[in-house]
Amino acid sequence: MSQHVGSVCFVLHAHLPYVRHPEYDSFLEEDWLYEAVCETYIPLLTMMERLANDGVAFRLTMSLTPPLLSMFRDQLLQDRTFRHVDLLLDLSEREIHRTRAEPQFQRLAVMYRDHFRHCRQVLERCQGDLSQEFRKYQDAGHLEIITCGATHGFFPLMVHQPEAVRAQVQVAANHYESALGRRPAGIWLPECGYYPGHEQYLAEAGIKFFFVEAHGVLFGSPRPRFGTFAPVKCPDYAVAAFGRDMESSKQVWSAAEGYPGDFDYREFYRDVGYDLDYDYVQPYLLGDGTRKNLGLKYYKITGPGETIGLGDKQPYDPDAAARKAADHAGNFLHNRRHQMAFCRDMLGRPPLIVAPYDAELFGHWWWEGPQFLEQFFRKVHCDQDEVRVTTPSEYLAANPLLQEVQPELSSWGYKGYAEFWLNDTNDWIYRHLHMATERMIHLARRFQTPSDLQRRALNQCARELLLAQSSDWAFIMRTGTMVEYAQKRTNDHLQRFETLFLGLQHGGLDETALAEYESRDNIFADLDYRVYA
Amino acid sequence: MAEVQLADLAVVELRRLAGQHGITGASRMRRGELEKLLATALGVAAPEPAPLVSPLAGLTVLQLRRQALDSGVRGAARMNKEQLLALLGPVLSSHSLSSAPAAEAPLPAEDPAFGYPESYGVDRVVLLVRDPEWLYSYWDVSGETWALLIQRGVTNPGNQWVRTLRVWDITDPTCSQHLVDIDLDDLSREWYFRAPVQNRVLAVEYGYRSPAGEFLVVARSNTVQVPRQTPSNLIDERYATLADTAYQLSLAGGDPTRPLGSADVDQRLADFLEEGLSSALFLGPRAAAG
Repeated sequence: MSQHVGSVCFVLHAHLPYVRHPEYDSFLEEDWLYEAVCETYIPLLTMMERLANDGVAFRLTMSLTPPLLSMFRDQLLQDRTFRHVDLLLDLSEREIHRTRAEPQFQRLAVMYRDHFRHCRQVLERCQGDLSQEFRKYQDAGHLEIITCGATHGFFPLMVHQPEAVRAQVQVAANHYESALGRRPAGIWLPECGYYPGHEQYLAEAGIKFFFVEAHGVLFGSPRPRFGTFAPVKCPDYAVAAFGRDMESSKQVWSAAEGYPGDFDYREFYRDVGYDLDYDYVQPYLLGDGTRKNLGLKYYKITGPGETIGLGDKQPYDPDAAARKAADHAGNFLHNRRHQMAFCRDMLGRPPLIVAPYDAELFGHWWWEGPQFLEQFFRKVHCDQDEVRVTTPSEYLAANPLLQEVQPELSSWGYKGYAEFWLNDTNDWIYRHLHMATERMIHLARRFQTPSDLQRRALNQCARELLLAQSSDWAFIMRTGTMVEYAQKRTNDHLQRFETLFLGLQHGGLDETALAEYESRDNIFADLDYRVYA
Repeated sequence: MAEVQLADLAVVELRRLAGQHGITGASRMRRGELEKLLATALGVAAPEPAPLVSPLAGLTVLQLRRQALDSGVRGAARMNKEQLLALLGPVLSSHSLSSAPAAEAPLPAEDPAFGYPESYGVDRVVLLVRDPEWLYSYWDVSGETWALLIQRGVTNPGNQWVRTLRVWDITDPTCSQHLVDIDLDDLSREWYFRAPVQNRVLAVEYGYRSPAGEFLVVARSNTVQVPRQTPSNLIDERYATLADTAYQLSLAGGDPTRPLGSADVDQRLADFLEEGLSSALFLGPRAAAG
């Protein structure tokens, strides 16, 4: 047997719901994008740039969901991202001055100033459109970008409306092609939510693989020969399912045992937006001036939450944290090597370890996450030749013969199924979503040769329906914070849909309202409503 | 808990609080009922119910129609809200509040579904899988069907028809099997129920069951596949041992120090899923890392 003990496939699922409010000068929930740009997407791009420059043959898989790609490419949000970065650049300059007598804080203010300068440079280089930066690494063969549901709708709760699933997949694949210049080979099913048979709609869109939570493969039929350690092929369609490895997921993710909770790492919950005088931070808050996180954080986790209160946190030491990230990367590699060698001996072939995470864990929550990843890829490349990194397409090209297994219903949500999106906080939405879907299908079949105005209204109906279907709204309703916004988005899109539907059905389309909806909910400019026919 | 001002809490919060205090069925209760039960549970005074313009004004058209039925009014299915209010005002004033108790107080404006039609006017029942153990169903009934049900006397409480979800196993479509009947509350529009079987294809019928065993079907649902929660019984004999080892390894993380086949292996999957290691970080912050 060769030195090769197995391969790791890192998958980062990058997603934010489509939040864009041109009707306001600034809007709190848009911050999700700006924060993630500065804290996750740009740091990941920078990591890839450094690795590529150093000749490290890394392999990373990322899903960039259609809403996220759309927001990257939207002029208004690009302008506001620049504004966000400039504000924080200004704040960090002031912080360098304010902390001049406290070197342990001033070095951090300098770190943030440099960070936001760098963010600005990256944004300038791609003229605000980060999708083109990601595309570069895909075209260079380091990064495999996969798609997702058009608006991250949760497929298992569309089980009786195949047209809805088909539209989510088709619209996503077409959008991917227009943004990235090729068809997507793979998909991250929203919330990893798989319902048996949905591979049909993936195959129709030319998609070759998707991912399932561990039990989706383990409870598949017949029993998978290699457990989660090799993808399986769905019966009837040339579509592969990759099962998630539990152990590696846990090591990074688990609140109790995961790396991100290390005491040397940066504390997320101590932020100058709350810590400093209100008058001082007020110019950076925008909106209604309510305090919020601004992204400048000066403390480390320090100790266990039971004994260390937020007020007891010690100053953050970036050098110590970087060393810890390198240690953790080494530990992760060491553990994978042992796991793989053991599995290889037991199973008779090198296993594939699929390790998917939310991209926003890396950088936004776990500030040192991108450093961890970078160190992992460097160690894999430089220090050893037993563990390899790969992407799904690369793996499938090298291993075309897969066992045929029908995967089982599953998701990566709480308890592994649909409960988080279907419970007494959010179940009321489904009768309305389903009715809107039914009406959309009806419209698409009825209007074969629409007038220009009707066509615009039909396309907008499809956009409103898709936006209402984002699993994020049900998710937020269940978490109990920012519920009002999630309800508002559900209501707004469904009511806009209803208005247009009535206008189409009974005549009397309101062109002013239509134009308003088009300018607000401007996702998927090229969408064709006949995807629902 | 004595400081809790029940009136200040959202219904969602009341429901959560009720759950914490062992009150079952809270997900289907409205504010009035929740406040009453919670006040008892917490030992505080229940807030005064908000004054109503009319005890009927807050009811939905469907509820008014049901009130009308119960009061012996004919043709209610085709009446609009104003007509129903005009008609029911006098009828109900004599014996109204016994049949419209606190639980039937109008839905507060914070109801998330505010603004949606009570009914889409179609006969419909939809079945969804929440997980291998729980299914969810919602339904809708058209005005025409209501009229028919009234005509048949089905909705007359004296005739003792029971609103029912009838659960079918249709894995073999040539030989459907009636698994169970689920009795529904009078005003429910949706229901969670335990999956009677796993790894089978199910559908439900929504309808009314008479004491004599007659079943009137209002609507039949889509089909769903209830997932299995265990490894498949279908095993390729050539790889039986291998598949078993791979299953254990997948759960045990391939750690040589953990003996395969130990009793805790299956529990590991449950623990793993319980932790919910996933999903929407911006939207659902993890617990503070520190």
